[in-house]
Amino acid sequence: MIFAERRAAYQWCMTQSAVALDSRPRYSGGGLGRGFWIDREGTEDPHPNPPPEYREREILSRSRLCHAPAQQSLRYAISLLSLLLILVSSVALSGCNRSTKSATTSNATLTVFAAASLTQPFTQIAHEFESQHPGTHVVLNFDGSQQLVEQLIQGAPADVFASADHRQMDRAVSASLVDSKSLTDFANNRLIMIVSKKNPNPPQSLADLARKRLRIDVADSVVPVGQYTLVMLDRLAADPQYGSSFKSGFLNNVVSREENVKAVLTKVRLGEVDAGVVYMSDTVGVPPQEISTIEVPDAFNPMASYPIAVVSKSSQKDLAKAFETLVLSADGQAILQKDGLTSIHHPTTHP
Amino acid sequence: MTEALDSKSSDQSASPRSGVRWLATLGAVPMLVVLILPLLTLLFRARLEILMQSLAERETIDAMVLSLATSSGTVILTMIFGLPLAYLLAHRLRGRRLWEVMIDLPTVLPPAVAGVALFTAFGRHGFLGPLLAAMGIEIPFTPAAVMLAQTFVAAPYFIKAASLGIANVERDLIEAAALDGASGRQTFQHVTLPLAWRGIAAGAALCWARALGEFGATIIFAGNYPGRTRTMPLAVYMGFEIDFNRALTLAVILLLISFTVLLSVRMIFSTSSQLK
Repeated sequence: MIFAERRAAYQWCMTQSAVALDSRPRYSGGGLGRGFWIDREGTEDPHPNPPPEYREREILSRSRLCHAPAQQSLRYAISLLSLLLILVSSVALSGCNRSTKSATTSNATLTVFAAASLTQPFTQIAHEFESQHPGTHVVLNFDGSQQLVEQLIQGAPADVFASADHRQMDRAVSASLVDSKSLTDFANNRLIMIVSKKNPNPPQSLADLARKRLRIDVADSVVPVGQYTLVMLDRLAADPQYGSSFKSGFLNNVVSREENVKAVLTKVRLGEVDAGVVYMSDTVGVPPQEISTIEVPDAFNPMASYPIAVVSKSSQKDLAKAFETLVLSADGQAILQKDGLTSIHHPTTHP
Repeated sequence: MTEALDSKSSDQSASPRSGVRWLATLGAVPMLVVLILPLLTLLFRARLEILMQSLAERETIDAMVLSLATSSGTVILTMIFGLPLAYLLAHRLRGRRLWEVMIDLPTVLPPAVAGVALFTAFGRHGFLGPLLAAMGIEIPFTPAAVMLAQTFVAAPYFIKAASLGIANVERDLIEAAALDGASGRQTFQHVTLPLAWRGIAAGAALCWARALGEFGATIIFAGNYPGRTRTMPLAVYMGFEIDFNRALTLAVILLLISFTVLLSVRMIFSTSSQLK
């Protein structure tokens, strides 16, 4: 009997308890007809009729159709089965994954740390590199440049580091994290204003951005693109056409300072803010019905230059150097240009 | 009734037999290493002069004040609006299990998804956006958004603990109260609430801690603006971008505040439950 164990435990507790808590006999509930009365000495009442309130409760719980043992075990079986299914499928999937990976990582793995704004072009360049160097697998780690430097400082293994600005690359150089000999610029990126098309009365020009009741999203000044945004605002403020009132009006509209540029893009695309400052490269691939752009003229546009370098702790510097060469080659530059960056060979042409 | 109460409390305070206790102590060490050691090492890595320097900075003070104000507000609102839900969940409710799982979901949602989900509900172009706009309310990027984000991820902890506390109140006592002629409200006020108080208090403390540490949904839904929506966790994260030590000291400050408040919440609630 299933309830024998429970009955025994109950009996044992009752006989063990040193203090007389309640001298009255107690009723141990269960299903209808499965309960029993018991007193302190552990003797059972010969009439196993539950008190009236138990009867009521039993009827209630019976109505929920879950108390009958057969149905309960069926329930357990079903939930156990579904859990098992999830477990087995996840193990099987991870197994598949490993087998495909082991097929490609037969020789070497090159780890590339690159600024988040390089996500699209570097993914393509990595594919190009893998096809040029059969057997080599390129692992890409995209994040804010300052995060990547932090990761390098903390000892993350990497072979190549591509930053979105010189400030972060300088940090890496001064901490001897990268070979300064291999350091070179490989692309430029322009700042651009993006405007959500979801909101009524969108700003049409740069001057419109200083008008009242507008929500603007920018990157925080600790992120390269945030620094460039401040430089842009300073240059605009120095121009009599805009003046310092433009800068203060613009800054008054800023509702958030994001920790990466993609967050600015997301919030503009959602229409939760009216406008944002991003890189030209970020707007590639965004459906034109979601955003429109306002160009920032060259005179005010701080051209972001992207430096790349081989990591000093890399155990495969030749391979890392080969990756850098590919990025600088005509093929690499074409990919970068396609994704909205400006080639270093033609720094002033608009893409 | 008092007898039943006594028996309950004596059951709880009964210490396990010495052998079991010794084994449990031994077995608890690995868990303590995982839970406590990182916090202690974090404390020892922080340097006092940087700590004092950060404490005097305006940005740090702003973030501390904002964090304390919003998380406290979140807990108060959660207690007011979460208790009815907890009460419903503690009793027979059609599809209770489904409701429970649904209420748990925000806690497992990846933070970024939580933020976007809040936009889809309360954002300018969200489900309730036009209605809120008609009333002249704009939630995103305000301290109210910070509280909403905190409530979204932290309230489930309160609701779960409180409904467990209410469900654990013995039915016999409630029935006895009813037999003695107490009205439903009186029973709730004088029997259910005092007996469920431990669960409610524990839930409130958990909710508060989770709200104070909320990061992902806040940075997306409320944004990151110093003095307005940049709470301590956001300040810690932004600190990482500037200087590791700065982030570390901010984290230590957050840790100390959390410790102080959690401890005082525990002490206040445990004494008040003893009085009752």
